[in-house]
Amino acid sequence: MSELSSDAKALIERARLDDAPRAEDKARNRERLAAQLGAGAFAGAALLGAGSALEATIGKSGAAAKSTLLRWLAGTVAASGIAVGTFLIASPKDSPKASPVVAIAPAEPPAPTPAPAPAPAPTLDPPAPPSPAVAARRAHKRALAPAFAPVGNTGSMNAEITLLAQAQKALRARDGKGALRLARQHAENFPSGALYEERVGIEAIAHCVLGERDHPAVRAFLVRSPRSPLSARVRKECAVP
Amino acid sequence: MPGHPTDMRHDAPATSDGQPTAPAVAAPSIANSCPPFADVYEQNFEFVWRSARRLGVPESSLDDVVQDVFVTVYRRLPDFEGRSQVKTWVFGILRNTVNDLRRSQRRKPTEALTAEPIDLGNDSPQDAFAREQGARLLHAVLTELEDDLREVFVLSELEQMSAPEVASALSVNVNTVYSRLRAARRDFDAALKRLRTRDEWRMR
Repeated sequence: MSELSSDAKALIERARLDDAPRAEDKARNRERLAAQLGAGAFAGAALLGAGSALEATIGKSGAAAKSTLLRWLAGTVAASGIAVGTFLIASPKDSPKASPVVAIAPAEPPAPTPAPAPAPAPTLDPPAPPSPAVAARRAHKRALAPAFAPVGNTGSMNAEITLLAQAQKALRARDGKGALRLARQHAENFPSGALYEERVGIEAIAHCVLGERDHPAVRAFLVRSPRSPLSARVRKECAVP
Repeated sequence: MPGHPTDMRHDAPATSDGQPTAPAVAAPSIANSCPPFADVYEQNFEFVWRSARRLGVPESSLDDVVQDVFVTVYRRLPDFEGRSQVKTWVFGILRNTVNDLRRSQRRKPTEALTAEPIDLGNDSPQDAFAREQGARLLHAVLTELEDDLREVFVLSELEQMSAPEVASALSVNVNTVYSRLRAARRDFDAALKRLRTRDEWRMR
């Protein structure tokens, strides 16, 4: 097997970790996915069953149409008065808020249900016990859905991004105290914000900028978030091998 | 593209015809203990992002491509049976998504699928400049590679996957991986020398 030249090896070694997305990139992506997958979970049959056509449409129609559709879906969810996060977190077993979804879900398999007793059109009443396949599918969706529940609404996400962007700006100016202050403000305003990991990473870097390389926050971040896009920077800033 | 997965075996990436695979969610698969989507996302987001860039996805399409990948992951996760690593399975989905983009770009020849400048805004100006230069050069060299070779090179040299892992991700045999990697290294070196020479010439 031929080897790379030393020049190529050096370039790769330097650039290997330099394509990491920024915190804003990840936040933006999560937000978009939350809008899409949250709406899909809410729509139940609409996206998974009969909605396969809708998904195909999404796939075909290109970015512009897709973003329009996503905005519409997100708007629909919001307008319906059903908080996606609430639905995603709620257990359908003991929360009436989940009932509409359970009621919609039986429509999911496109056809072959042999005349299920006169379907009591979508109501808040729990439907007849679902087939094992449908139940398994719903369980799967419920298990997946909470993934993006904490993301919050667009406004709070924008506020989070704005605050942490200011903290990052402070870091770039080597203003560790300022960055810490903004990170703490983020912690107060968004104690369970979607950008928690980014905030903790910023705090770790800020401590290192202040010369506090042994601060527990630094080690805690590297232990808890070794795969974070910020971990390489924390290591570099804090001279951690 | 040789080795492009066209079969529908389990854990195979999405179809290559440019269409998202229909959910076709089989109940027995769902009953399997597929990893939670949140975990798959957290563990692979960065990998998908940087790999998309390295495969030549332009900045303007990066968000859409990464989103499409994870939407497909979400939809197909119930079919994942663990016969391959999640990472290689996700890469297969990314690869098909990028190929779809390439096909659509070929229909619009003015929009070449090439790497673009990188914004690394979190470092000191000197660090950011050095890193941006390095990343930009890397992307420029990668752009010179043929698609098949680039995929192998990205996974093997940059992601440091083993040959069997690369073979699994690309649905080719290990010998193919080795031969492509050999060619990719040769072409990478040649392209790097070419770009260096060009830059030196420009600096005169």
